[in-house]
Amino acid sequence: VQDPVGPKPPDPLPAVDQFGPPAPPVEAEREVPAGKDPSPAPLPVVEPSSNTNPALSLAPATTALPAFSPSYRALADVEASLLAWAVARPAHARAWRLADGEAASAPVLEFGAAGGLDFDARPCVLLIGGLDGQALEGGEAVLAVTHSLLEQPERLPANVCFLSLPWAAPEALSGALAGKVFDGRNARALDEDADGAFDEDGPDDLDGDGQILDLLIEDSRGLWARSKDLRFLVRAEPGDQPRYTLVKEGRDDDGDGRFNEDGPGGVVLDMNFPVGRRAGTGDARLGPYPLSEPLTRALAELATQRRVALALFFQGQHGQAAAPGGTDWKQAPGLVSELDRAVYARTGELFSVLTRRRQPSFLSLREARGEARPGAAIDWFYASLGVLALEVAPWGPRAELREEGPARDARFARPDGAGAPGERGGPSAAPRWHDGARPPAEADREWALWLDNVHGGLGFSAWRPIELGGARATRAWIGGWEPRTRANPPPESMARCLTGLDEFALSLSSALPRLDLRVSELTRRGEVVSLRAALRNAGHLPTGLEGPPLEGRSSAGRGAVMTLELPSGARLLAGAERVPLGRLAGQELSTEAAWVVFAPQGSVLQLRAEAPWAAPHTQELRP
Amino acid sequence: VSALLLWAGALALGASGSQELPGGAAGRSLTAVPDRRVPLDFRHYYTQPQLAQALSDLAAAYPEQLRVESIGKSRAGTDLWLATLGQAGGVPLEQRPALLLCAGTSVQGRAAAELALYCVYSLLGERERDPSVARLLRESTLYVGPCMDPDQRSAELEASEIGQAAPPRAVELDLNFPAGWEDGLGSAAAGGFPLCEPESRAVVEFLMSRPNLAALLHLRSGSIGPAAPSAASAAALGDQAPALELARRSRGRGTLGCDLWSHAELPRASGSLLEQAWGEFGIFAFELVAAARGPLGASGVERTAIAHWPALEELEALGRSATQRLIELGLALPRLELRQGSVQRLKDDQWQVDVELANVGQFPSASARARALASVRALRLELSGAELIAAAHKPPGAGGFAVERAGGSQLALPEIGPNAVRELRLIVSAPSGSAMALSLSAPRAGKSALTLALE
Repeated sequence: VQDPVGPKPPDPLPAVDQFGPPAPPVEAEREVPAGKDPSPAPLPVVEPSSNTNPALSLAPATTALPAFSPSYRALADVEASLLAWAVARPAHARAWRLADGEAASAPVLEFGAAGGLDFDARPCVLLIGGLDGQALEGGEAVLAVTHSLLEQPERLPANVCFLSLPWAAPEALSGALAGKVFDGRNARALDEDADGAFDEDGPDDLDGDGQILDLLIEDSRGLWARSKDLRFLVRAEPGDQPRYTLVKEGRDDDGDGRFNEDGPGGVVLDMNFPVGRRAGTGDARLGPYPLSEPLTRALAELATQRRVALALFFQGQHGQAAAPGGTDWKQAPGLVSELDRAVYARTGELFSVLTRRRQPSFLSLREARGEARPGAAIDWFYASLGVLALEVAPWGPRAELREEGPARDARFARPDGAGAPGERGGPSAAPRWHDGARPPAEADREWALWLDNVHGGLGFSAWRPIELGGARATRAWIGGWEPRTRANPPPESMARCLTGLDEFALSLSSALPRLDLRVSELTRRGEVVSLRAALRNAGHLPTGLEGPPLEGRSSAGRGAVMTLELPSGARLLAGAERVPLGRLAGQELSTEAAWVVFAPQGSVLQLRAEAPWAAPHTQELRP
Repeated sequence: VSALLLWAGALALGASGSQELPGGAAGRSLTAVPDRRVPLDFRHYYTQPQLAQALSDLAAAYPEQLRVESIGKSRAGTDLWLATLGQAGGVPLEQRPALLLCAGTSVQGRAAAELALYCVYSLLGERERDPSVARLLRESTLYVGPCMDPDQRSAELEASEIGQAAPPRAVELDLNFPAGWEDGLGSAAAGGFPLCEPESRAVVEFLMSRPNLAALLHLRSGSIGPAAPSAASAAALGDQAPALELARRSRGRGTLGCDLWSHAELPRASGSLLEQAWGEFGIFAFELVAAARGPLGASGVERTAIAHWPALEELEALGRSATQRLIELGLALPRLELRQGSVQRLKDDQWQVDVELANVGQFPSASARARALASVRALRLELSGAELIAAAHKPPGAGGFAVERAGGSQLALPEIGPNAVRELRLIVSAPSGSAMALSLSAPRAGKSALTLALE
């Protein structure tokens, strides 16, 4: 990680020292009523402006900030935008690179309200785009949010630092933009089929139509069967015939009887984190070991060095805000503890209100993606660091349907009326139909609704037979979703799918905890000083999360703490120098702590409050 | 004293310019003196510069057998030195079955740097008078990392000079490897995330960069063996059974020495190097424990002031024992042999060629775990000088041949078990009089070639 106050980096982004030192603190005094009810309440929404741009709903800039319009863009354009914004907001922003000097580095814009604490000391909000290597729209979401926040810097919460990484997986996103990488892998060459050759059997454009779709191969041992809607597949069940193997379009380049099993790349950066990995799965996307990639390692080191409170990963194609839990967790209720689930539920409600999307009160990553997601970044950020980490998918079938949604296709309405989000072709989630065929899985049905009702039925290439050649008499078909339909939004949908995300990020970051020390007694009798104080969390989010339920593991270290620092000549007669207060909910007032101190006349005591997600607060006491 | 006399003899040999030792490779001579071109003293602990200098001197003296390189830097920027031993010539070192002897990733392991150095020193010196050492260096590659935690070792040495104990590492390396972290979450001593320490990361990067690594020995001093060795049966251990047998056979000799413990019989140690080697790479993993047998001090020597460190008087004896275990394990590594069976003309230019594929080592050509993890490429037979039409192999205990999938000029084959032979039938096409070349290779079991005349 490049030291943000270090020497000028050899890249086109501006060196941080050109911005000069931050201005002194300007935090306003707050008057907080004592004993306010700390019960959880909906997170407050920062009032949106009347800007008509659906993607950028904040008010027009007071200072000229280069315009931004969501679109598909290359890494160079992303870098240029960040650079231009840093130059336009020198008091608020500085640009640098993550994993600078490595083969792949990611541009970063660090910004926040002017004045106050150094960026390094502030609670930090990570805005990360496309770490999955697929979500180009995730990169656009980060750019849109960043631009929106910088357009009205006076709305930035005090003493909060934002770190924007729009293209967190630059190699894979560049490949996705060029239509050459489909599964988010970086450029690390791997021998996935252990045949001694690297990347020798990847996708090919078999029919020469200029795009690589899916290839359906008839295979008695295949995992898939056709659904009632012949466009979509369902997981094969006993008795299903014919069966199919589904791969990307391509030939068996290395003649081992398998298709595209050793394509270009690589590791999916979003699957390269430590939590949820299982040895022996043979899934090369996870990487040879956790945090094996320079960018993931640099991101982890950055996260451990900063006071990260909130991490929003803009990626995925489910259109929702997903909480940690990419894989099965050994203990109920899952990776996220009961106490933390309430925080995530409130976060989900906020997302639903601000984006006008339907959102279950709690949605795990596995549920949102419809399949296991081992090694996911949000799982590690939550479980290891106690960060409020979310996967926010700008794009998804609901992104343009909104909360009212279109009418359901009568052919596929389920007799039991159930309709929880399920796996793609999830195993027998849907009942069999009277003619033996099954309806598509819930996720496919939603995408079908979007395709048929919003996108005019365009964007899905019907399955058509293809001759695979060679000695194999296998029947095969090419077809499936076309580029920029399901995996990424159509260009004309890009702006719409970013609506409300800036307000979501701003509201969450404005709700971060703020520490307010409340001294109820400070008296002196001769050299003896009596002190009583409590700590209020003046924010709306708690001071930290509990973390996953683990036997023998305590989350006590993640709570708020009051520390009394004494000058020389003073000594503590009663009370503890360091008082752990546990987790404080939004608006909660802690229990009171008391001290008796022997302090000569004129002594200045310092009472310091700290919490994982809050800027530290120190109060001088002159008894 | 005897060691000093040996070094003096070696210096005299060096002065006379004679490099040949009586007996040579034909057999061990009881009167032969070892080749001691570099006099090393094992009556002191080595500081990091001394260790680096010793390795450098050995590499300069034995350029045909030893190469020394740095595989990374410690957190304080000290080089992590690694010695590669193998006789130059023949199959390239990176294609021979290999073994890594590694010290310093644990508290007790930091005390074993001298023993690892002794192994290098001893193998080089004994190679011409001990045929088993010569064979080991000719057929295998030995990697030796004598000190993978130079910063903490230096701190411990410096503290001991003033009679104090060094503060423990904030992150213990042998907890910092990814294998076995409970759900990816370690403890405070294990570090913020797996491989957050540059030393453990360098070791893992090294393991990944050497596909020929079949076995790993973690060398340490301390108590002998686990408190409660696993009682698992060989059958239950699956493909770890050969490792377990080898370890059991090696133990219990003498009063001062090194015992070999297989990963399979040790308690599971999350985040350890052993767990990493076996769990994530399918490399056969062992603990080589150097200690005096019996109560401390029973050998009659004064114990060192540094906890877990062997006494200076014990270093040579322990070093000799460690070397012996290393040789035994090295000779047990899997080794492929391609043996001629028969050549039969079917018609015109079509031939049936039967060959035997043998593994003469005591380990399988790759562990089943390694194959399951896809951490090693499959056993492969390559053919040139004839066109491969079909191939079949005879499964163990079966009467007939089962058809193999043949693609082009090479075959991916199932792994071969320890001391096992597999019959392979090739149907090929080539003009009469052709010379057909076959090459059998597996990353962890080496390579064997055979040329057959089709006539």
